[in-house]
Amino acid sequence: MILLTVDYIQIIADIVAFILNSLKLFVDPMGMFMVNWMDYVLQFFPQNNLTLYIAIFAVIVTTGAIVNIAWPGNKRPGFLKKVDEVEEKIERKVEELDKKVEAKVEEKIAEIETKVKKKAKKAKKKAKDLEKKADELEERVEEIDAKIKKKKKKKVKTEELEEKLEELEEKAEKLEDLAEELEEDAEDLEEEAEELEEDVEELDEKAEELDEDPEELKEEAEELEEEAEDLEKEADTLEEEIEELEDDIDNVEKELEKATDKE
Amino acid sequence: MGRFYNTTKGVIFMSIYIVTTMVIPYFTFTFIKDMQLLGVDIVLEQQNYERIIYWVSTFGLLISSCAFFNYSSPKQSIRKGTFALIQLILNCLYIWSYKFSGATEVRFEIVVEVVNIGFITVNVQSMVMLYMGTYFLTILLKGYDFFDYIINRKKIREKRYKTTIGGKEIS
Repeated sequence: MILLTVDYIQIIADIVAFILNSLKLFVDPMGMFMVNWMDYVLQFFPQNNLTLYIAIFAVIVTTGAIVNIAWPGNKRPGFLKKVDEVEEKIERKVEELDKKVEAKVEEKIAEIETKVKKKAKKAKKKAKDLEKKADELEERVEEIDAKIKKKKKKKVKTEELEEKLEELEEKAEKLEDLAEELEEDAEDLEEEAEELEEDVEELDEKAEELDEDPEELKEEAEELEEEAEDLEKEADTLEEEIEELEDDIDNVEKELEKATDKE
Repeated sequence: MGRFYNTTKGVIFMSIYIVTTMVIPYFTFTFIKDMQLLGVDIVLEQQNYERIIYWVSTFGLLISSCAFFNYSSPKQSIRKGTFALIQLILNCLYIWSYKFSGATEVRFEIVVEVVNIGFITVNVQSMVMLYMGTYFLTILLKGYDFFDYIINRKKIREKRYKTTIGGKEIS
């Protein structure tokens, strides 16, 4: 059994030896260096004096406890305290500046609001004025349109009137011609009437002379007188018509003059 | 971190180191001293047993005290870095103490019915050397930390206290 255990130990030893040999090249030099300096240092370590080490242990532990209780790393270092002071100052200044800025901003907001209100009022007024102006312009436009339409109508009317004038002038000319003719006829009739009167006188004279059928002659004379009166009446009516035509012509001419003036 | 927290942390780690560096080695060597395997007495031929216990105790005390100082110090402080480095160096010396006290070359004598029939020698010097090599690398790391704490002390403090101006951190 012992021999078996020795075999197992040999196998383990072989494995360990293989690992050590494989790493020997890299680790051995470092180990040698360590051994050298440790051999040197250990010369200064006192031997057979455990109390000294216990004392060192106690000193290190107590100093460690004192140091780490006194300075646990919570307190800010001096240079950071200055930074804190500067930071506090900056924060105060920032707060002051914030307050100032807020006050200024509020003032400006109030000013801007008043200005905006004023401008809004002005704008409203302007809008109203513009609306009024727009209405006026619309009215003007409508008026102009109406005028244009009127002018168009007037033009049409003037054209019609001109046509009518021309027609009237033509009619007037015709009437004048007729009037002249009628005057001539009237003159002829007057002449005839005078001639008839003369004839009547002659006939009266003849009647008186002859005393033949005075009544028939009177009747013929009366008929001739009636005819003369009818012709005179016709001449009067023709004269009235001529006067009316002349008035119409004057009116048309006046309208034409007004239309040309307006244009 | 408060002082109470730091102190309790230091005490806890100090007790852990006392157990691992002093109590366990003491009981191990005491157990090995008179070991009986399958009815056969394997007597540890350890002439310097007391010497081993002495060095284990001395370095154990120093390591434990340094552990207390180290773990009760604030994070990333110079004192923590200093004592961490000292603790590491002491650890190296503690391990080396096994070598020079003879603990790395243990000789077991096999005794059957009062008759000594032979001996077994376990040489762990190479293992200790390997361990030293790894310790060398950790010392380098701790040294780097220590110098880092010293050089960047201001930055570390500013980070720890989170100094701000106008809501902005100082970098």
